[in-house]
Amino acid sequence: MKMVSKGILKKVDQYLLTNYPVIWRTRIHYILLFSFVFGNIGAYLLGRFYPMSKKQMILDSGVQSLTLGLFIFLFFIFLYWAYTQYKFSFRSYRFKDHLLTLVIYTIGAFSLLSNVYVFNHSIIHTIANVVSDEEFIEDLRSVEDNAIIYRYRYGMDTPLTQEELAPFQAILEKYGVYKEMYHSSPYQNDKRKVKLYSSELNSKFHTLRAAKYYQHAGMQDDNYTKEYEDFGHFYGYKGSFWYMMSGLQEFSWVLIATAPVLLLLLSFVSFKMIFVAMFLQFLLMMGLFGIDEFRLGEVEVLFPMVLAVMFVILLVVRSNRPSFKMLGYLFLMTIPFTVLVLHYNKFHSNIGDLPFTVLLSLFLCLFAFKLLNKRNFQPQKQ
Amino acid sequence: MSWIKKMTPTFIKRLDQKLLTKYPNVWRTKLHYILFFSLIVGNLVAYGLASIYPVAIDQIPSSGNFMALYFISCVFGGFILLYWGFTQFKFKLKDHRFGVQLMTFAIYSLGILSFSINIFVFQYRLTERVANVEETQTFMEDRSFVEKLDYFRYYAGNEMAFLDQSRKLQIAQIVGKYGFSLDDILREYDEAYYAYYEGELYQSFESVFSAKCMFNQLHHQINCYGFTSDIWKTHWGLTLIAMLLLPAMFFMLSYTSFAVISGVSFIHVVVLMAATMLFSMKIVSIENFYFALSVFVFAVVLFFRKNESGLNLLSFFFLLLAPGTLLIYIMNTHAIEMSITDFGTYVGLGFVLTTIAIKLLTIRTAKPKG
Repeated sequence: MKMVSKGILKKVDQYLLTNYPVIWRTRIHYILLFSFVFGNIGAYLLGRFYPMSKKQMILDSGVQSLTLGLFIFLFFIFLYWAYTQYKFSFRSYRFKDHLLTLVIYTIGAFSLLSNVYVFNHSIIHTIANVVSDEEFIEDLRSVEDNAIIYRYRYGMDTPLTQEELAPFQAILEKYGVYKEMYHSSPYQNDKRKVKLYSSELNSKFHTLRAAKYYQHAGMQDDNYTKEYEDFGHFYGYKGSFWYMMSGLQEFSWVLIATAPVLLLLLSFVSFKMIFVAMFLQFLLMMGLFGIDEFRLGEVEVLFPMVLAVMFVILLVVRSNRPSFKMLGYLFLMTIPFTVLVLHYNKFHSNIGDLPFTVLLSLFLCLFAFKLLNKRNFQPQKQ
Repeated sequence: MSWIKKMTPTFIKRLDQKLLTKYPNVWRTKLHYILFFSLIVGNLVAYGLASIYPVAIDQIPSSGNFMALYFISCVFGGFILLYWGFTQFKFKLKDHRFGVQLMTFAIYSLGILSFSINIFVFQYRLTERVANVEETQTFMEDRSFVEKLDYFRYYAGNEMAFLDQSRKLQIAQIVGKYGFSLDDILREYDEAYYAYYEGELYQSFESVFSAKCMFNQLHHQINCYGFTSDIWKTHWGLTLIAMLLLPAMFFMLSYTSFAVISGVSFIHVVVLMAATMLFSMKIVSIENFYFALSVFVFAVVLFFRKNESGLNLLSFFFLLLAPGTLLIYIMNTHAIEMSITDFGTYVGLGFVLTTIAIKLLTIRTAKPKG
C-alpha cells in the first residue's frame, strides 16, 4: 500500500508540478490521499473495530475526549500544511489562481474535518450495536421495574443492602458492573420507593441510549414508527451524541469559513504577521462582544459597522504601505466573523443555511483579498 | 516592538542596560519586563478593570459571564506568552551551565505565575464586588423567596399567571430589584421545564451566593458552595500545569525552533491519544502508562547516550514528558482542584523531575561543539 501510494503520489506530484504548479503548491494531492482516502478509511476502521462489549464499552465522555484529541491531532496536521504553504509562497497574482487556491483549501479543510466526522459516526454506531434494540429495551425496563423497592428512606445516596440488590444482580453482571457502591435515590415524587442508582450502569445506559437515538434518528422511514415506539419512551431526549454531532457540524462550518482564509494569507505573509493580526482580531472581538454584553450596542450592528469603518480607513490610508497591510489582514479576518455573527443573530440561525453563509463569507473574503492584492502583493517595479 | 520601548519607564531601561552588561542570562529572559508589565502594571490594570466592570444589583454577572471572562483572560495571556516565547526563540541561550539553565527555567515559571496572578486579581476583585452588591440578610431573604417561586410552579399548577394580583406585585417587586420583570420570569418558565435552574434570575442569585460564600459572609450557611470557588481552584490547578509545561517549552525555544516544539508536541498528542484509547479499553490505567513511558524513555536516553543523532529530539520529548506524567497523576487523583499545600508539593516535585530532565539535556545536547 505504501509503495503503491508512494509510486502514484510521485507521478501525480511530478505531473502537477510540471503542468499545474498552482495546484501543486497547495499540496492538495497529499491531503486528498492521506486524509480523504487513508484518513477516512482509518477513522472508519478505528471506530468500527474499537474493542467494545457490554462489559467493556467506551462512554460518551470518552468519545468526547477522543474527538478532542483527534481535533488537536488534525490541528497539528493543519499547522504542517500551513507551514508548507508559507514555505512555498504564491508566485501567481491572477484572480483565477487565487480563486482556485481558495477552493482547494476549502476542499482540504473539508477533508480534514471529515476524518473527525467519520470516526465519530463509526464509533457511535459501534456503541449502538453492542446490544440489540429489543434486548436493551428489556434491560432498561427491568431496571425501571425491578428497581423500585418499597421502603421508606429519608435521604439520597444510601447504600443498598445485598438483599435489595438481588433483583439487579443479573443485569449488573451482564454489563460488568461489580466494584461499586449501589445507591438508592427517591423515585419520582414518592419517597417510599427507591430506585437503583449505579453511576457506572447509569453512564453505560446513558451512552447506549444516546447512541441508539443517534442511530435511529436518521431512519425516518416506516421502520421508525411502530417498531421503535418504545424508543419514544426510552429515548425521549435526543441524547449526548446527537448534540455532540450537531455541535461538531456547526463548529466545522465555522472552521471552514476561517481556515482557508488563513491559509491564503499564509501564502503571502509570515506566521508572525498572522499571529499579530489574530491578536488584534481577538481584541476587536472582545471589545465588540463586551459592548454587546453591557447593552451599549448590538453585536449584529457593531460587526458590519466596524467592517465599514475599516474599509473606509483602508481607502484613506491606501498610500501608506505598512498600516494598509496590517489593517488589510485584519479586515480580511473580520469578514468571516461578521458574516457568522449576522447569521446567528439577525437573519437566520438555522443550521441548514450555514453552508450558504460560509460560501458567501468565502466569496466576500476572496473579493476583499483581490482588492488588497491589487494594492499589496504585486511585485515592486524596479 | 517600538511601542513597548516607548511605554517602558526610564528605570526599567536602566535596569535593562545593567542586566545586559552584568547578568546577560537574566537579561535574555526579559524577566524585568514581565515583572514590570505583568506584576505591577498588569495587576493594577486587572484591579482597575474589575473595578469599572459594570456590576450593580440589577446587573449581576452570571456564572457564564465569570467563565467567559476567565476564558478571555487566558486567551489574552496566551498571546502575550506567545510573544514572550518568540523573544526567547530570538535570543538563544548561549550559556550551557546547569545552574544557568535551572535559573532560566525558574525565571520562566515565575513569569507564568505572575500572569496567573493577574487573572486571579481580576477575578478576585470582581467576586468581591458581586459579594457586596446587597446586604447578606436581605439577599438571603430574597433568595429564599425566589426559590419558593419554583415551589409554586410545581405545586400550584404550573401557571403563575393564575396567582393573585398582590402576590404578583410582590414577585415583580423582588425580581425587579435584580433587573428582571415578571414577564421575564414567566417567559423563562414557559421556555424550559427546569426554567428556574437554567434561567438568568437563578444565575444572578447563584453568582451573589457563591461570591458571598467566598468572602465568608454566610457564616450560618451549612452548604456553602459555588462556582467561584470552583473557578479559583481550577485556576490554581491550571497554573500548576502552566508553570511546569510552559517553562519546559520556553526552555526548548531557547535552543530550538517553533517547528521542533510543534513536532515534539505532536508526538505528545499522539502518545496521549494512544494512552486514552488504551485506558478506555481498560488495558492500562493512564497514570501507570505515563509512568512506564517516562521510565522507558529515560532508559532509552541513557542507553543511546553515545548516539548523537535523534537523542536531542528524544531528550526534548522527555523534558515535556516529566511534568506531563506528574500532571496526569494529579488530574487523576485531585481532578485539578487542589489545596495550596498540594499545589506547593506538586510544583516542587515537578521542578525536581524537570531538573533531572534538564540535567540530561545539558550533558548531551547543550555542550558547545568542538
